[in-house]
Amino acid sequence: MSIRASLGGAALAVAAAVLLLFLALPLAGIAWRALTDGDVATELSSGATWEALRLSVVTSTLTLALAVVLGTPLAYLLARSRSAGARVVTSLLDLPLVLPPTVAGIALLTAFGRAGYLGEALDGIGLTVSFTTAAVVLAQLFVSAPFFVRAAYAGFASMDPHLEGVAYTLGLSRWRTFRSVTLPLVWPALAGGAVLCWARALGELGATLLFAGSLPGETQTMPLAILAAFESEAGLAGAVSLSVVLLGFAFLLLVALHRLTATAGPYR
Amino acid sequence: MLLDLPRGVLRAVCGLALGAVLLATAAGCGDDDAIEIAAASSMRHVLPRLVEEFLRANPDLDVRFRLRFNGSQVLATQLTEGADADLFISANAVQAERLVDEGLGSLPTVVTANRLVVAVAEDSTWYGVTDLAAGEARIAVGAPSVPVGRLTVIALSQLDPPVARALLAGVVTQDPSVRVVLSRLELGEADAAFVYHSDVALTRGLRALALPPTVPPNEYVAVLMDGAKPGTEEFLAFLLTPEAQALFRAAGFLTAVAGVHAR
Repeated sequence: MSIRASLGGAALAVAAAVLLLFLALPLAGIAWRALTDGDVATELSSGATWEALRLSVVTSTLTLALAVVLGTPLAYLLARSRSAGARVVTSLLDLPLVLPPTVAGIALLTAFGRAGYLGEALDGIGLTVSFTTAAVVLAQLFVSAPFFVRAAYAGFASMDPHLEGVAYTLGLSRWRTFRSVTLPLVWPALAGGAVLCWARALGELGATLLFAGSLPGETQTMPLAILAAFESEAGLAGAVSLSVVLLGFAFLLLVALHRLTATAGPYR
Repeated sequence: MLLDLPRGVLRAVCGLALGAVLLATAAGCGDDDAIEIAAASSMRHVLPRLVEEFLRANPDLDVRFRLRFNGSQVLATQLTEGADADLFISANAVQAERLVDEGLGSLPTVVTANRLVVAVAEDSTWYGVTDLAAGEARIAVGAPSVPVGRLTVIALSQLDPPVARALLAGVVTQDPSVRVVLSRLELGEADAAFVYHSDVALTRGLRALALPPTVPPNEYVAVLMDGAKPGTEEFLAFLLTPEAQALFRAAGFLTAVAGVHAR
């Protein structure tokens, strides 16, 4: 049995190493290419890079805030409901993830674009959404909110709802119950979903390009700046340099987020 | 642990993984004898017609073609990173030159050209660029770093300065490719788009406003890739014949001015 067990352990380690290498090698490759071929220092000293980076940080943070504020109630209600409708809605939640991002951008235009069915009404009151920074946030929200809601739903669904019932019988209000019973239990799920949602928003390209356009300082986020660099004469060298700036920045933010949610979470 | 799983489950998982790998390998093997042409996206409509005409004119040639379309920059990157092609038709002379400089291909040849125009909806009330400037139109252009955007900058510099300033103020997006610029009009998000004449020619419901004739055309440069299959060079020569040039013109392109690309 011990030989079989150690064989099983070895198989686990090999499987894990294969995937880890598969994920790490391209990242190492792009970093190496940027260091040898590209010019990260020049990109870092360019105002255009910082402008794109600032826009990316502002919009993805706004997206995350919207996803958390609107997505937590949605996930909670779906997880606690036993109706067939709730089950249908839950499975529909994944659809925005299936859409190719470019199609998601076109879908947003059909609703909120100037010729879209809501866009004409919005235009009537002087509101034009497409080609604005607000459109960047909406595009990111459309493709990344399902990540947060999905994770939060899993968290709410996996906790024993009787615990909430016990809290009510002990005289706790709904809000106190949510704060001191539910939230501590689902906190890891919410934090994980928030990180996924934010990361997806930061990398958003296709839907943003179609719905918000690409104008430096207004709608050109880092992924769009990378695409513009790739299509230019600077080509690959410029694109990989910018990509490494984005990757490095995202890495720092992810580490900070992980530390924040692991140590400074309100219930640890 | 792993071995506590029922045998059947393990076997099914392994079988699925193996099947996926085999499928992926099989999908990678295509038609190896076909002449592979990597061409700029704007060639998408005219190139199949050119191939058809070439095959009809050369019934004794036993060749087949496989066509691949993408942005010239994307294609050039794929080719320098080792992708296979026999002929590369670039909408950007710089990309073509770079491939030749790197020793990956030869015979850079101008095969056709495209004029920059301002596209508007057919039923719009704009009949000239000055109308657009006065009417506060929403305008889509290419990013200055891509060929169509660079030509747009040149075109604007040749317009009356107040008109150019008004048009610039109306720019809502600087897109990474001419296809995206065109889509702004198709989706009704912009009133006007700086695109190529061939784009307007093949899109229903659009009309072209002329720009000053002094704006240079964008040239398409074909490069014969190293180790090109037999028949590729004949096809390249065919592109310069009156028959091929007539097809280019019918699709909204201009006649090629020169054969071998002058640097």
